[in-house]
Amino acid sequence: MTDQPFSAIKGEVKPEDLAAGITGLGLSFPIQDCQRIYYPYDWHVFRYRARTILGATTTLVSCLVDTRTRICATADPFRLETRTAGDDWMLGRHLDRDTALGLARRYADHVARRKNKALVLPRVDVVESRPVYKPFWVTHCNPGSGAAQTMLIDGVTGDYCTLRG
Amino acid sequence: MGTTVIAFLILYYATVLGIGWWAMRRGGARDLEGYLLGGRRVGPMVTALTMQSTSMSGYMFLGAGSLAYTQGYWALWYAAGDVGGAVVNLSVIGRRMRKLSQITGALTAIEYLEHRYPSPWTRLIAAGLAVFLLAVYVVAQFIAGGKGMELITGLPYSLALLIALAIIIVYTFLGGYLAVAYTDFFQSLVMLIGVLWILGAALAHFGGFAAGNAAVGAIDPSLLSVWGRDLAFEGQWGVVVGAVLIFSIGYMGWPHVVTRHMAMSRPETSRLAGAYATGWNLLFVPTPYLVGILAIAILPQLDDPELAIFNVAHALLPAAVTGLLMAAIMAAIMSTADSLLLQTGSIASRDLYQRFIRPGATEREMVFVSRALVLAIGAAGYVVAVVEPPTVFAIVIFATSVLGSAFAPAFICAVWWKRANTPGAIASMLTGAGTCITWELADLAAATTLHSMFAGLCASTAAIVAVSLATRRIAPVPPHVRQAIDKASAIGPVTPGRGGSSALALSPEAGEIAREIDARGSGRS
Repeated sequence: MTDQPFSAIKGEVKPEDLAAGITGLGLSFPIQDCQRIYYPYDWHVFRYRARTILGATTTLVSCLVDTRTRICATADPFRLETRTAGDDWMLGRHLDRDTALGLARRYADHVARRKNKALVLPRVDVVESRPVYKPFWVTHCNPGSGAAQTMLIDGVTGDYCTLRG
Repeated sequence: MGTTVIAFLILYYATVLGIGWWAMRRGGARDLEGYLLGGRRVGPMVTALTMQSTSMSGYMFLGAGSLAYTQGYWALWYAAGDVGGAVVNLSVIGRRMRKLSQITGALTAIEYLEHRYPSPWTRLIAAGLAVFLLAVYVVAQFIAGGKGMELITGLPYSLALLIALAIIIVYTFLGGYLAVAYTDFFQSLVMLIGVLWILGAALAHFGGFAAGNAAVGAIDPSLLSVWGRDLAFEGQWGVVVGAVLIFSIGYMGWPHVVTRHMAMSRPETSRLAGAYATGWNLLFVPTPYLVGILAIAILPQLDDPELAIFNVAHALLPAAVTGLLMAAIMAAIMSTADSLLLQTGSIASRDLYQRFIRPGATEREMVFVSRALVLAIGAAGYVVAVVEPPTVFAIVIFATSVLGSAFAPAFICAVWWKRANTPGAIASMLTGAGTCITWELADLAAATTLHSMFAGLCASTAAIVAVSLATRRIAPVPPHVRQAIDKASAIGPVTPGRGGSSALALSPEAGEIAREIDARGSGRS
């Protein structure tokens, strides 16, 4: 636990949503308790500029690198907020920033190449590069069919999966 | 075909380029993501139609029509496999392959094979086969483009082919045909409406299916059977199974198709996309075959059966509609050729040149190598297409059979059989490709009544099983690969029957968070 401020992706799923039984997420059983966890990513935005028949194109690729599993993915737009951990948990990074940048660049190159459909050499600039944390909720619930389940809920999208059950 | 057709061809291209330009400007100005997330935002229907339109073009409009024109209802065996190909593909390897590639950090199909079957030989053999077979496959698109251009412009075939080839290579080098989902969506709708319109016109010409079949039967009754002209394939189930397998299982061997599994976004989207793709297939896939069958009675003296669909459209539809359809078909053919060339160039430069020849190659060098290879394929393709052009059908069936035989068992076992090891995968790729090529070149299908795809697939499956078991002690599957396969198959649905579904995309974070909870001793706050 730390009181150092950090950049977090603004979460749309609130504790009150969880307390209400998250019926909006398609589940019909109540949540017993919940714990917010901040998960560490590196966020990189690359700008690709290339000349094509349609004129000069500029493509921005926003890429999140999971600093624990090294998995990269393009990201939907999100808003950032400054948070302190308080009672929330923060998971530690397993990846240094240079390695994360290298992974993000390789992934973004791949995505941009597939999208542009042209054998051109683009000019690439790093527009944004910073560590960010994303909120998740770990909840316990009893679906009524026997054993309780521990579920993980994405604090931004509301997506969920079981951790144990 | 006249100036009306050419005018509509130009109008169509202008529309397609306009959509690309609009999407590019709109996406770039709107937010940070640009248009790169287009494919993820547009939803399952556009995703599905985009996938289908970019993988079906030259073959469907030339090869399928030609097969049906020459063999009658026998051709529908190929359509049967094709209709369910997308769902089989997604069901068998889709979700697990997406997870495994994510866990191993692979971005391309060839890279994925090397990570699953760790050895430089895996990549060398897989990349070599892929480059050769995709280059062969793209020649079919060149020939299709050349024939279409010849019909539209009235120019000699060699000149029409040169123009089609030049257009394809120019926009492969310079861009301009951006992979904008809405462009592909628009194109797929025009293709679908187009072939249905041609079929409708053909049925109206006869006054219905029964009358059409009667007219075909009057020419040769054997064309109405499922055993081919003069019942040439009667009782040859080995050939029938191969024909069905080509576009069902065969798709699993296409590196540019399986790469899509690795890029899937949400599982819910993929499921819905699979349903839409099947719906589109049900409408689209059988139609060119049916038009080809009816063309037997509409135009019984065609010099080139590959132009059956184009000629039926020209004979039965108004010039403006023909122009629009021809334009859509040509655009689709060129778009597919462009995608195949880029894929081939990318494999050659990254999986072969950078990996084995110059590991320190710069991006500029890689682009140069890709362009050189594209030019070489273009030149070789032009010579083949002019000097002794094979049929589009023959090329597509050859390339698909060999790709499917070489790669399908390796891709399937990668996620479903933990004991599949590197020697097994290498033996499978070489045996499958070797058997299939031998079968095709020596025309063993006629002698054995077994389709090359069936023979190749049996051989490569036997090879991966036998060699993996025989070498399990000297070449065990590395522990990190076994763990990755376990993880890829671990996440199941949330409380089946309770509604909602598990988000596959969360599984990496879920694993890390579960470990953290274990480390802290309790998940409760």
